Amino acid sequence: MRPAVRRCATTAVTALLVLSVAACGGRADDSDTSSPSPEPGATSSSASTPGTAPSSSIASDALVIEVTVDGDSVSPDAERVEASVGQQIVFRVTTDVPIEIHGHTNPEFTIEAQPGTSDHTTTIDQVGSYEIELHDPDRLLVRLDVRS
Amino acid sequence: MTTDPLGGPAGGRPGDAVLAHSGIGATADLPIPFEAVVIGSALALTASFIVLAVAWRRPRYDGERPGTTRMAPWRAGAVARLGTVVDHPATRLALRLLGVLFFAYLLFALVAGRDVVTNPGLGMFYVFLWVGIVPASVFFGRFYRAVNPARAIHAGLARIAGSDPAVGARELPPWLGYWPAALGLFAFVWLELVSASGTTTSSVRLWLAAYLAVMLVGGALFGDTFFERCDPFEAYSTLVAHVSIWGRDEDGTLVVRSPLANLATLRPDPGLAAVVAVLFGSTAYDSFRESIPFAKFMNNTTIDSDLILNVSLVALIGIVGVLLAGAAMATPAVGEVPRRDLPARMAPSIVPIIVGYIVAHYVTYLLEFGQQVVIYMSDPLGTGANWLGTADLQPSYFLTDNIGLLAFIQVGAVVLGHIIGAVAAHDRSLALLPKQHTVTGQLPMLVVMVAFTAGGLYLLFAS
Repeated sequence: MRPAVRRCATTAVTALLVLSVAACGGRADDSDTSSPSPEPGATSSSASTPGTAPSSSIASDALVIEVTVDGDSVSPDAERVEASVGQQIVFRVTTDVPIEIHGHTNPEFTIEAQPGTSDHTTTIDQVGSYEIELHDPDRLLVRLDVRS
Repeated sequence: MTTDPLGGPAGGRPGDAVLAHSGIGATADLPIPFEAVVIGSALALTASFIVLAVAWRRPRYDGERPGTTRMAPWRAGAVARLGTVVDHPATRLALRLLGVLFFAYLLFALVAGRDVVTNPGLGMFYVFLWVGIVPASVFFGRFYRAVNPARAIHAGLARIAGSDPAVGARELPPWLGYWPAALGLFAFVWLELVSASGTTTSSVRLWLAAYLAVMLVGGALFGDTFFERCDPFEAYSTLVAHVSIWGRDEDGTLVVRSPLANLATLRPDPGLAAVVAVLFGSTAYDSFRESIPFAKFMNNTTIDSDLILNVSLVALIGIVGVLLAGAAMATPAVGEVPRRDLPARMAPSIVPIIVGYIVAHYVTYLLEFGQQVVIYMSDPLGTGANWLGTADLQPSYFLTDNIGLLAFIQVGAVVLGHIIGAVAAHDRSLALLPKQHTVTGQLPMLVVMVAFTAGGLYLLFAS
């Protein structure tokens, strides 16, 4: 991890408290979205050292998608990823600039990540194939194939 | 977290960029399994050679020689009686009113509603009008002709003016053929699949205004024939209607006959191959732009993305057109049929392949996202209204949830379309090709058809 990112990590922990991710779901009747205010606990931060055990809010069978933005280099680069309906999906974002990730699910979700490393959790409750894009400029990060 | 106040339950954003299909928030299909691509292509290939090897040796469905055996309509008397009901002035008026009502509601939503992707005007335009034309024409024949609002307005104006709607100030030049329809269809697919503003109400409004204006001026100048040849939706609908069981005989009486016989009655006017190329090429483009390799390319190029999308659409349409024309012209025809007329003569055989692929590509879009559009239709102004009582319904995702069934329908539609197309092409070739080349002369078209089918199946897997 780059020093700048490492330095930002501590700040990120604080910053993340004000961040929340729309716990998106396949359908509008999704129980996660029906609650009027999504729990801030849906978002947690990972430790600055890689390899640390995931925090307690992440399920053991969660799908973790590592998203890295480092200058002009972005990964993943249009990868196909398999997930299951209802599986916890964690976007572990490491970025040196504020970014916005857009999930073309139904309803759609948006992740706003500040510089540093942060986890953003969601689930998808409808079978289908969904594009997860980085915005401005638009780049396809992953194509999420959600199966039952 | 989604904070967009305009979003509504589906979280739409005005002017949001390219999404699955028309960009109005439909969920994309899971890819079909790769084995399905292999099995489907193998079936198509085998079926093509079986047709070539064992099918009949004299043309059965020759539209130019009405005496050909299998052209005989089924239960002519009963069907003709049905025809008198269908052609009754009251039925025609009711269907026209239906079309006018549909367009009026669509335009009302686009003009008075908000500029969000949940505006039902967008869904009615991209889902019901564009995709709905295909099943409506397969089941009911020349559907759009019956509901065409431009025809209704044209007929109304003619009645006021006391003139005959069929007669215009001048005649359409015959060399124009279907080219204006091909151009109109291109304008549609460009708006839907390339234009960044295809999901804004203002662009769709502008497109529809231009469409209606051109249709009404054209109708006034050239009479009813203009709609038949130049209205993109009507040309599309009438083309697809030729794989239905509904046809018309020489004096316009309704008949029921085999889709193969129906296809043979399609008049091979200039530009027919172009219409086919636009329809097939654009649907392939829609799959292609959603494929992973294309997304990777777009992620890592510095070339302007609008330029790439424009070039890709034109290129795919061009490839389909060139392959089709090349295969059709590869073997010179007998008699007085000039070589440059061959693409239009062979184009009808590609229509079943297109219909099969369009079914595979759009079935969930129409059946599942279509339900969402019906839900949106209750609230055209975005005020939370429930005018039609559909606002609280929940769409059923039966097909998407049953992925095996969906893949079976998709591959089945593509393969069935291919088989009908191969038989139709075989029959056309027998009528057109010289005796000594009837088998070898068919090979180029057969290869192109197998390539279209395998390519279509591959795109269902890769996107």
